Amino acid sequence: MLLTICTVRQLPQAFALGDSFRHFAGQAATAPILIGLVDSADALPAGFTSPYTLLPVAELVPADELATLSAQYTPTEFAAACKPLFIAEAFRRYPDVNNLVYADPNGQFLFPLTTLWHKLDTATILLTPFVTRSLSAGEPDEKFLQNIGLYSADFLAFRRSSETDRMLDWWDERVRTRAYVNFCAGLCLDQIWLMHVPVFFRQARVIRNPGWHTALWNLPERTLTPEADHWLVNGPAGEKDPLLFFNFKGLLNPNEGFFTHQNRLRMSDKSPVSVLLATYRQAVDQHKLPVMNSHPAAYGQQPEPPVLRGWRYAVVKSTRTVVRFLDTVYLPAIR
Amino acid sequence: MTIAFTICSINYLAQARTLGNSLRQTNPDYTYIIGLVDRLDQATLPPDLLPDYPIIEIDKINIPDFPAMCDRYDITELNTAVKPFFIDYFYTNYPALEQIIYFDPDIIVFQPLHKLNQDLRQYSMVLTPHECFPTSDWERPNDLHHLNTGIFNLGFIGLRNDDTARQFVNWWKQRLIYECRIDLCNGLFVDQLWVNFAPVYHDNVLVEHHPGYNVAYWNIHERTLSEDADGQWWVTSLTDEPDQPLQFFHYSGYDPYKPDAISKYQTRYTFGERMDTKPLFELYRTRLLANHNDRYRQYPCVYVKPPNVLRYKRVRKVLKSPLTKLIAFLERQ
Repeated sequence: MLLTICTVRQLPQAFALGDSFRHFAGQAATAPILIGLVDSADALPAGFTSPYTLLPVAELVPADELATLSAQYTPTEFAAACKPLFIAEAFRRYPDVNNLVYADPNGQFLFPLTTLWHKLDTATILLTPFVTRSLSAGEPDEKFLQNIGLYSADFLAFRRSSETDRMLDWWDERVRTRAYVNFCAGLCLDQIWLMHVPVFFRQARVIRNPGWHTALWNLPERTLTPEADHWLVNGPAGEKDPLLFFNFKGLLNPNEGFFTHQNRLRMSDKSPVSVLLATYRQAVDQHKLPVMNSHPAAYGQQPEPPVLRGWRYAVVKSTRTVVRFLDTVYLPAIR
Repeated sequence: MTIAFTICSINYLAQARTLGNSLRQTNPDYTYIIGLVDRLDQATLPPDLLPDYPIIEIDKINIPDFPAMCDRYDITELNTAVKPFFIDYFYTNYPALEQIIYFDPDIIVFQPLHKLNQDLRQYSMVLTPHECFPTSDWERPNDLHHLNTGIFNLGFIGLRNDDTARQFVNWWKQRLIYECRIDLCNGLFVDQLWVNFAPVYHDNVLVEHHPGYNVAYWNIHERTLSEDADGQWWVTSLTDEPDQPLQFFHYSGYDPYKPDAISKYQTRYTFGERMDTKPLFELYRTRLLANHNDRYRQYPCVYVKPPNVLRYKRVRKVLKSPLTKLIAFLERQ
């Protein structure tokens, strides 16, 4: 089955993701698609029917805890804090389901998922790293990846198993109350905790295939080539792999995600990414409703950190360098 | 040929000798070398303090612009930054070299490391995670601490002499020239945090779960120790697997002059709660003292600099004030 988590504003993307899963899931084409709503369902227009099952967070988290979490987190942190809970609940609600794919609403499936189901025959948890080879000069650098975690929490797959249950319990216990983005404290959403997963959970596997989870952050190390009905991805090791899953985070909305100031990927109109993005935009637009666009998220009352552009970004960046210099520069004692 | 090596300054030579003696006893076919972040010509050690092991001083392995590195780093950063430079030196200068094993000086090896040597015939690198099972409380250290200091403990690394390992070591060297600092907010923790990338960038890395490797304060929540009638040490882990022989114990943060504390870096256990580990620490204390710890610790390292005192905090604050206001203003827009 497929699970995603989103706000009302992101629903069109979640629907597009659901459509792509339906198309490519193969043997699981009739499997459930569940949308965890980290938002209030009240904003949906009267008579609105969702093509996929919606599960509002209020059905999972008691009202007093919901209020506490909402008050302490930004909307992004709030959604992250609820993720393990939603995954566990999906397994509980659908007892016949064995394999569960979690995907961020920015994702789209682009190739039959046979290899994914196949990998889950021998693994309980699948993770994908942001990048699979050393980064060239540019922003962000490898140190920043250490701050956010090396495995992306936007695409995960699980097989029903006692190991998966243990992982979800462990993750939930940590993430519910510690989903802050606070690099100095070693925290970054639900994501940085995944650093422990390949060690703690022996049947977890890290998938380094270039066609799995291609995105803004790893396109500089990969090359896309169009085929008749799919795309091929060339990875750092030269291997060719069909493009299975693409994450449009930071491409559809440049202010979203951790790569808002990346400067490695430069898009041209005819680049494969532009082609993919244009098709994705169409897929999302067909689900758009005006009310969704203007709706602010109901949970996560802390403000998201601002994304600055142009001269403001340049000024703040250099001012921070000066502040850091004043903080650390050696000054001899005046006698 | 297998090289086992450690890195330390003269004040830690009792530890390095204790490690060397344990290797001589358990793995006599290894060539054990001490990488010294210090200068013997300036210390003039009496003959009985000169270890019976080859010593290679840090200024002799051709680290590019080494004086500048000394200026940049404090003693902890410097001692850790030189690790891949030593590894590269061994790769270059010992043509028969097949395997390199690094141990922190505060380790004792208890067994012939057959599994490790066997694994290094197959894998390019062997790494030990701090913990193989989560901690169940928030005492120090817990799952969170390892997130910004590193999943793997770099008191140990095993490397084969192959292209993958050399490629990794070159990458690691490049990072450590300038970025072997402790700056958690910016994703830096000496040489150790960088090694998180090893299994992400390379296929052929073994993450070792054997409970007898690198036993230390950070993983005794998942391991208990016992000694049998023959004096052999065994480790019981949380898995259903049978007990495994203790391979090597890491006495990180243990002070033989404060023998009642397991480690200055941990708050989880007292010896009263972990009597199983107590004889291992007593053994270590006895060996350190027999290896002249009292005398070695008197030698200051030539590379130690006076601590960087941050003077004029008020002046700095006044100068920064308009700048932080400007940042806040621009971020509000």
